[in-house]
Amino acid sequence: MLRFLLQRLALIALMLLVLSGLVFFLVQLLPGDLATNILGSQATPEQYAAMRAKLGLDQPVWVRYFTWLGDFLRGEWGHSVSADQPVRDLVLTRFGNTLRLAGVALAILIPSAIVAGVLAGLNEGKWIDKIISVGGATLTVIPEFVSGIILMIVFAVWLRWFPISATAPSDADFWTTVRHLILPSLPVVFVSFGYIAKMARSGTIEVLEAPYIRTATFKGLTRRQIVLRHVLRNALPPTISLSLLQASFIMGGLVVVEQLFTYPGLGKLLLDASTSHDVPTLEAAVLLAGIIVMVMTLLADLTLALLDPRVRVGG
Amino acid sequence: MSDKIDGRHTANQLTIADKLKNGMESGHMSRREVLRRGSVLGLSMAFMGSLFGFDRAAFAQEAPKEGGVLKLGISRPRGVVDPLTSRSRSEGFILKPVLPPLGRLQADGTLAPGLAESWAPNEDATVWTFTFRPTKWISGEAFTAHDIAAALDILLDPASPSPTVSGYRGILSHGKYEVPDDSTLVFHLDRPYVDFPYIVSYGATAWFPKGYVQGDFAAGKVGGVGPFLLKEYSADRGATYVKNPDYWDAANIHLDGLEILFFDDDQSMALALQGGQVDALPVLASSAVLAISANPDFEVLSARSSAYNSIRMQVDASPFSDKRVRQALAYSIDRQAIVNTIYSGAADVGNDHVFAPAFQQSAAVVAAIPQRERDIEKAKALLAEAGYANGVQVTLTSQQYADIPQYLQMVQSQAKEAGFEITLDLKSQAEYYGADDNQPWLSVPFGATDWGERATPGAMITPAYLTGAPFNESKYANPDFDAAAKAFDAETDPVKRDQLAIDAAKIMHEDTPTIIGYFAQTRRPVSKKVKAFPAGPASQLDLTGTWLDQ
Repeated sequence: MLRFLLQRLALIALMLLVLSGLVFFLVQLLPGDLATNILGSQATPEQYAAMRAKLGLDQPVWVRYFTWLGDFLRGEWGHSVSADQPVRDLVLTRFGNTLRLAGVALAILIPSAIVAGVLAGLNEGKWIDKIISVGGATLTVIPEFVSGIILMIVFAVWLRWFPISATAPSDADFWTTVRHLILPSLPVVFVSFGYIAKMARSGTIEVLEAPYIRTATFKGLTRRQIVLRHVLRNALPPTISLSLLQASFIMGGLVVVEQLFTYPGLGKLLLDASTSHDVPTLEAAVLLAGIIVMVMTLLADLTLALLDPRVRVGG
Repeated sequence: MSDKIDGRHTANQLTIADKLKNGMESGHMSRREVLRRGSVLGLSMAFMGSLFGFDRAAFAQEAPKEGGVLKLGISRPRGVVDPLTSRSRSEGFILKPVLPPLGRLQADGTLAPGLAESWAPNEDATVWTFTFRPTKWISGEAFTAHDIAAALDILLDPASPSPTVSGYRGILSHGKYEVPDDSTLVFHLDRPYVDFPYIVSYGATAWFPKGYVQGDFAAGKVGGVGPFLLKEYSADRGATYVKNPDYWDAANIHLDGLEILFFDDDQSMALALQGGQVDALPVLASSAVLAISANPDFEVLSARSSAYNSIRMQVDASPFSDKRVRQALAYSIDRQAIVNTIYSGAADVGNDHVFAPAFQQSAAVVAAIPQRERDIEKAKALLAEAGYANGVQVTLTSQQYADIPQYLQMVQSQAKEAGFEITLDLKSQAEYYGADDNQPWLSVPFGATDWGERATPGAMITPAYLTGAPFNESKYANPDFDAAAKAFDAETDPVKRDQLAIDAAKIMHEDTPTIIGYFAQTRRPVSKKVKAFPAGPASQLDLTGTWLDQ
């Protein structure tokens, strides 16, 4: 188990190194550079030259990469020129914002999808199962920017229950902040709801058909007791594992959602940093996003192993 | 410096006023034009009112209510807003409530006094004297002409990141100004320039106090001298302001405060207006305006603009090196159909010169030059004369930005009938503008570029159409045009100036280095509870007189 864990961590470190190199060199292929982003298209050649010298853009690309890598490994993440603040502060603040949004999304997603899935499994073939299964599959295929606009029209324009901007005022209390985050979290919930509900439904049906459930029924346990003691306990491990794997989907969806709902999270930072050629910020944000996805994948494997004794890793 | 005769105006200004009066009495100019022309030359509204017999009461509107906080939605500016690097409209909207312009440009093109109480040119418009009103920064220090001079020292430094450097190039050089006393600043221009007051009052330039250091604004260290004081600024969310009780025109600021919210997406911004999260949108893409214009709770204010999308042809590259090919393309497009389809009529048809309806000289130019209408037979004949009787194949390079793709697809379809087989090559905006040696917008033989609003025709012509100009994307070079354009910038006599505008426009129209199909109007969707909101110009937001009916 320990050997497996160390191997996976070493692999993650190697993948992050390759990722950092790819990002750095691919950004060079994008048209323009940080100086043109700051100065616009109609500055004078003298202004461009002065700005490039100031930003160190007159150095060869490999020199810049290894300088950045050396600094990064020493814990010096650099300064974001476009946001005018230290990259570490910027990325961690944005990450915190994304965690808040993802937290609201997961708090809605996991209980609702599991309850719906178990309900569908317990009522296999009935109308409630059909509504949940077809509804879940439909929500999964609606792109975030489409469901986001529909949600805005219904809940912000017609009903006026929620604001459109996801960013609460700086002096907002906890519930006001959550209220601002509910609408943007729903498109992300929609995309993952179908997968998780389907997995919970399959797990439930599988468990319900197992011989020990029949035994429990013959022993005289009520349906409620069977569901709580046996069905949930056995059907949940793969569902929770899948929920963790959804982290990578959520990261992708947040780029769209954060743009649409004007939310300063990690996804929006990735987009802004790449379009503005802010390489130190982009690198830090990509590596952080990479770490999250890779670690969540590892956690999903480990959780499954811990929750289900039939699954063991590392021989 | 000129001596003042009536305590306010110079002899030179009184001569100009006489000419304006003659122009109006002979029917050459409307009252509105007289006001616009007089204001830029420094004639006060009170003086013009008495001289020309205008009754200001005629302009009186509903009695305003005091109080309330106006909420505006704007596109999130890139990075951190700062007067040293400000170049976009959004940055200007954030800065100017605190750091106002020298003159306040109005939707009708008049220039009202701002930080500068008055201004006057010398006889040939090479020396301009600006007089500032006594006011103070919120720190308590007096605002003086030294502040403006110190700001110019920084902004006009060739290595400065400010776009002011390119905006003032060829007009005002670094250090060419003096401060004879605290309330007076004298500019010595590089060449005669009648529209100079527009240059110092327009664009994203915001003036800042002496000793300013980059970052002070975002850190809340600049109190400002504008109608509002910055309460809070967040690069992520927006900015909030409270009314400045010491503002020189505080009596006409009816709002208690201002809140500006940032949006990253036009659709979201339009929905935020309809959902009541904001009260007005100073800038919104035409595609997003359509849904709001059908809603009876909102009105969409329109103002004429000088912004356009050029379809420019490099005059030294085949097949466009032949003027007849350029003209043929110009005759092959149906401008009114384009305006109706893309803007639902909210744009003015262009005539392949830059004297837009937003400019003072437009009426004279429109009367003198017949509008180019679609004429397929004429286009075919011109192509045949140029040796392309069987048509011509060309690639039009441009960008995926705003309405440009839709516009070019219509041009592609319309020009086909005349024999133009146009292949569209639409790049991302960053790729189209590029950098260093790879700037397709300047290098491709046939391209389409978005040119933002400018305050004056000269500000359009100088960077883009004079021979050898740095952003002359069509490589246009005509000494007669250069001479007419420069004489236009230098002429103070309004009648002669109109004639020079006609001369320059005729040459440009005839040479057709670029097709200007339309000038899209500024569109501002506003909740009906907002009263007296300025309709334009697009890059300015003067909230003097604006109030909330609540």
